[in-house]
Amino acid sequence: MKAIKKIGLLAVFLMALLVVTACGNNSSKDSSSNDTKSSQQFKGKTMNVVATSDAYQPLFDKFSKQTGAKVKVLSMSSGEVLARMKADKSKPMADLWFGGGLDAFMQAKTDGQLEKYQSSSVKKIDSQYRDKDGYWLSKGLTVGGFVVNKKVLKEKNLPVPKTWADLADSKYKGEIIMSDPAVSGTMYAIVKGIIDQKGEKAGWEYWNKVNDNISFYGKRGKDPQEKTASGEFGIGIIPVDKMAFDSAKQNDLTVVYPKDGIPWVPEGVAVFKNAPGKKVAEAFIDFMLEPKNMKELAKLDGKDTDQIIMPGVKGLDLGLNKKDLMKENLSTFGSDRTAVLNKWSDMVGDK
Amino acid sequence: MFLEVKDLTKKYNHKTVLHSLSFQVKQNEILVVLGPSGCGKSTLLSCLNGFTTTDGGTVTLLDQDVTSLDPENRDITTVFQSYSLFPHMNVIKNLTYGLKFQKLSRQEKTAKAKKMLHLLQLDDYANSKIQDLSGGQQQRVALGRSLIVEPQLLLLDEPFSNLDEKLRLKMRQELRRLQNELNITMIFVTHDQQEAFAIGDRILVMDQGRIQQISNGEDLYSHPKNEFVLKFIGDSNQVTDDEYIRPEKIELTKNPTGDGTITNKIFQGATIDYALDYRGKNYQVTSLNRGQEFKIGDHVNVAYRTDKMEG
Amino acid sequence: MAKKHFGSKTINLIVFIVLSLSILVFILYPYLSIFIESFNEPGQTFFDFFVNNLDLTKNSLFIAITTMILSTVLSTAVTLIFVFISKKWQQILRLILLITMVSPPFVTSLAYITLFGRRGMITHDLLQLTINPYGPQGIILMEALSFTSLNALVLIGLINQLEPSLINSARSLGAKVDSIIKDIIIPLLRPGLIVVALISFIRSLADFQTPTIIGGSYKVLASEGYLAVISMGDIHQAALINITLAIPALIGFFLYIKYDRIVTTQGHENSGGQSPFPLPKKGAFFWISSVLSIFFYIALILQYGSIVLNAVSEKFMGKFHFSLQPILQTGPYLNDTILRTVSYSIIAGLLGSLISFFIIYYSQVKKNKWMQFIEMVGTFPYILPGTFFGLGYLYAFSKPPLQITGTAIIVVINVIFKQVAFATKAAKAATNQIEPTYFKTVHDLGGTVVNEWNDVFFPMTKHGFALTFLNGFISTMTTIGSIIFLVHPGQNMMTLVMFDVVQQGQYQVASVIACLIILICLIAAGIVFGIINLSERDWSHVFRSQRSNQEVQS
Repeated sequence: MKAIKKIGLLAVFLMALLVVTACGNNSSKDSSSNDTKSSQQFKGKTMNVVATSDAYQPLFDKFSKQTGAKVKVLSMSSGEVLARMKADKSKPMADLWFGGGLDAFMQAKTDGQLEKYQSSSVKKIDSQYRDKDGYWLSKGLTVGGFVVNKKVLKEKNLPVPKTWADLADSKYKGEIIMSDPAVSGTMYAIVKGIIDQKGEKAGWEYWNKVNDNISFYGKRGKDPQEKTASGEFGIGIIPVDKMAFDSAKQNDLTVVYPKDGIPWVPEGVAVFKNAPGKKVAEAFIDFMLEPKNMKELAKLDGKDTDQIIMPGVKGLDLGLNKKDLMKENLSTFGSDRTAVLNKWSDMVGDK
Repeated sequence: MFLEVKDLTKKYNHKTVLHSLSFQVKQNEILVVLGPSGCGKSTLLSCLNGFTTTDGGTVTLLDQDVTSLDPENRDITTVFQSYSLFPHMNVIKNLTYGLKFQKLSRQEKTAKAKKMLHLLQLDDYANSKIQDLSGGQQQRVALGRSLIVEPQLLLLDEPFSNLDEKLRLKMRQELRRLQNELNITMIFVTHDQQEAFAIGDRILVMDQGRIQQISNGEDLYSHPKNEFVLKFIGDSNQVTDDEYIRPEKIELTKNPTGDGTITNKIFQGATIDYALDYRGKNYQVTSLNRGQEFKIGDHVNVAYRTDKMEG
Repeated sequence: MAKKHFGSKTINLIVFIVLSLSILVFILYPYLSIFIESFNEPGQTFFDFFVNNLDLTKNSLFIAITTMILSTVLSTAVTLIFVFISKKWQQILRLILLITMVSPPFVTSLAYITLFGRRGMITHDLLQLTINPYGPQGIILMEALSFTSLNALVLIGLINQLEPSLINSARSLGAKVDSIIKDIIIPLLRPGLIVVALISFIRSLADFQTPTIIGGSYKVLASEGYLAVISMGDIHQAALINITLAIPALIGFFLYIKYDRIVTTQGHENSGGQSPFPLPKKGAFFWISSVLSIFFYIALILQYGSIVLNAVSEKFMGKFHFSLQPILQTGPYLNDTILRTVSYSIIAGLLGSLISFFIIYYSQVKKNKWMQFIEMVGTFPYILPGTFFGLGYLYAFSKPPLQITGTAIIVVINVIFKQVAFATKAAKAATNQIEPTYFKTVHDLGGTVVNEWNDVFFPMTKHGFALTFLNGFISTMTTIGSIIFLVHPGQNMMTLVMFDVVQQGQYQVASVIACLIILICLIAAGIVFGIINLSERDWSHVFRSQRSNQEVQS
């Protein structure tokens, strides 16, 4: 009954447990990656990544296998990344920032939180999809459209909308859902894209009408997709990718590319300022820009060929036509964000 | 002097619960502290074993001032009312618990434990679980656990109050027997005067944080110093401020024209209690049950002798 | 008995100082930092914010108060049923309640939308209605349902403490079932009901997940605080919101302490007589609580049934098909996360319990005033929203002297100290079972403080310790808010992965993870209860009432 001795033992046990789980996984998988062809130049090194989803794991695994670097991923929205960097200025969030709306990357560049890197293969990317100073580049485009629940619309005798303009029609009142553009980068891109296309005045007039048709804004990016699938709403404004088509198949929905233009936003990739794993992160960008890996990435992202920022690389065929992409002004994409969102929040009030 | 308590004072939140108590205890003596509940007797005990700090006065044990020593450093042990036997240890472990803190070899410990078990007449129970013992046996283990460390002074805080009447009588004898064999000095706290008479060499009567009287039982009964002692010990009929009659000292004889009237009667077995109306006053009378009985309403002659308080 | 206790006194002093420091540094300091930071940073002042956003506060209070009432009524009904049913059924229902203490809000909400949404199976398909489920009504219903399991367990613990002779004598005097419940059981549950109500109130105030999922356009402080961080990166705003939240939470908390004292100190008198239950199944109370309980258990079955269903099926053209795909898909999301989460939970459970028991030793056994203050500081993480605690850590530990953000240690420390609030409560109840004279006996026979721990305190509270550990383990397995801003790559926890996949709409994967979390918690509970039952028999005579008392915390 020596409780004190037991406590001592316990302490040792706990320390061991902590050591094993906190640091031990550096060594756990290294032995399996004895790929003879790879250079294994980063063996024993770790690259920490914040990404928008855990779905990129296969690409990171491939990178690990090739270079020997261990990759640790944490899924996090770009807003959260910005917030965390603001609160904790003592150290970089991670080494690599992978995915997320471009506005956040532009903001981070302004705040001096990114590291400059010009990959030798970056020229392969159309210059409108990368920062002219080399702080960020994009890994692909996210495009906006809508998903329609035909059953719901049929019940109300409503036609399937074909264009953004259709959504402003008052007959769709209460049947449209979109997410709060402050939460969802894609929604912001759609709002900004249409304002760019129609011009400041007409753009806001349009959104005012759409706002009248919307009863509330989702607090999560996935709300429109899900709530249309469950029949809560007839029309959901969504990012169109393979997942949208898959979900449409599962739930008997229709995905629509609006005829009057498709808003888009590049997804950013960047290296954090003072990242300890800077070299690995840079190597990863080179790796990603290899066409075969770009293709793999397009598959994981579920992107159409025309959503890929590197000409010549084939993605999936989701029926997108590059010509339909809206004309957008990327230069004000980041700088206008606060103003647009403030105006937006004044417009929607308490919804 | 073996134990000397001088001007011991204790306050709780400005309320004085012990008013500068002074008394002494001789070696090998059993001093019983007797008083109603709330009179301060438990606080007094706490000051002696060190669990309560004092607000004045000294406690001297064998010429050493122990007033501010920690409990573990006092050569005093306590048997608590609830025994506090460790439920996760068996009898022998409980008994020898205090020996852990003395530099003794295993053999010495075992020898002491054996001897103590024998003394407590628990030889067969060394490895029993505490839960399997009867109340009386548990009480003996608790006593033994405090005795085995051979303290200079043993304190007992109403140790028999959880036992039934018969067992209590037996334990009193047992305690006296142990005291004779081990020659140990004890302070025994109780609210039960029978117990006080049966155990104490001397009895300290306490009320409201003050010592009312210290003496042997006979003296307390026959010569109470004040009204509290008079009323607390035995029954009495108070006649005037300092005169009283003990109920057994009133003699009744049957007489149809006597000026006493029996108003109530309670049969007690060996004795019979009567309520008596005598010259307009009520008296309590105790008679031995020797065949002479009165009925309610009987008229009797009354004979008595008054005693005087020695204040 | 010489003066040889120098060593033990030193250890005592060290433990005391380490305890005090650790609570001050890891609980008080983070909260203070966020307060100071939010007042120092440029931007809106607290007063401006409060006045401009009165509606948010009103909404939060409305939700919290209604949820409190609803959940208290519901848990009372669920509890009362226990006096009418046999031991066997009691065990089954208690197990269900234990499992459902782990309740990911998305589960509740998903089932709710499926059933009561605008195209819900019940509202639309069955009743031909199109009702808007989003808004306060959704939040209240979901929160009330998910708080009820824990609430009912607390109340059932009190029922088990009832003196059987009380009810038996009432019945022998001719009391009908209804009057027994009205005159004896409800009055005895009263302090428990107040505690349960206040717990619900505080939890509802702090819940940011349910409102974001089904609140629709209805905004409350907790969800706005969370969104301020993730959408705007506006930590100043988040801090202001959290400070506003702290005010009603603190008021609720001080009431809670007052009544909780009554709950943990009352009723050690169960004399183990003939059990008076089950009572005959009649009377208004029986029928009302039966109806409410049936509603409650059906809701539970639907919710948890839908998780299991989601975990093993796929949807195609609107129809579900059995499939192992979700389970296979989950692999890449978790990799080493399971091992890490379980280890952190074990560490948090053990160290959190150890710290809490030591605090209670000083505050309760030694009646040390300073430690009572420390104990109170220790309860802050329980009353204030978890995100607030996490933000506090982010502020406090991202700069010298203690710069530990980005490490695994900060996550572990956070989950350990988040335990202290509840663990000290449980430790207190376990410690109340030990008569103070046991501690005195040790000193009386020459032992020291260290002997008190060795020979009395820990051995005699080991069951309480085991249950406290289990509690800490489960709550770490299910914690989200306080660590969501602290984890860095390679430090993820299962709940965070689940929260994340829910955000991405991967409900199947989320369901698999939820099932895994529940399974792990069940296994841990099985092990702990198994160990307790093995050693229980020897103790039964000594601590007749201990077990029933400890169930209050389980």
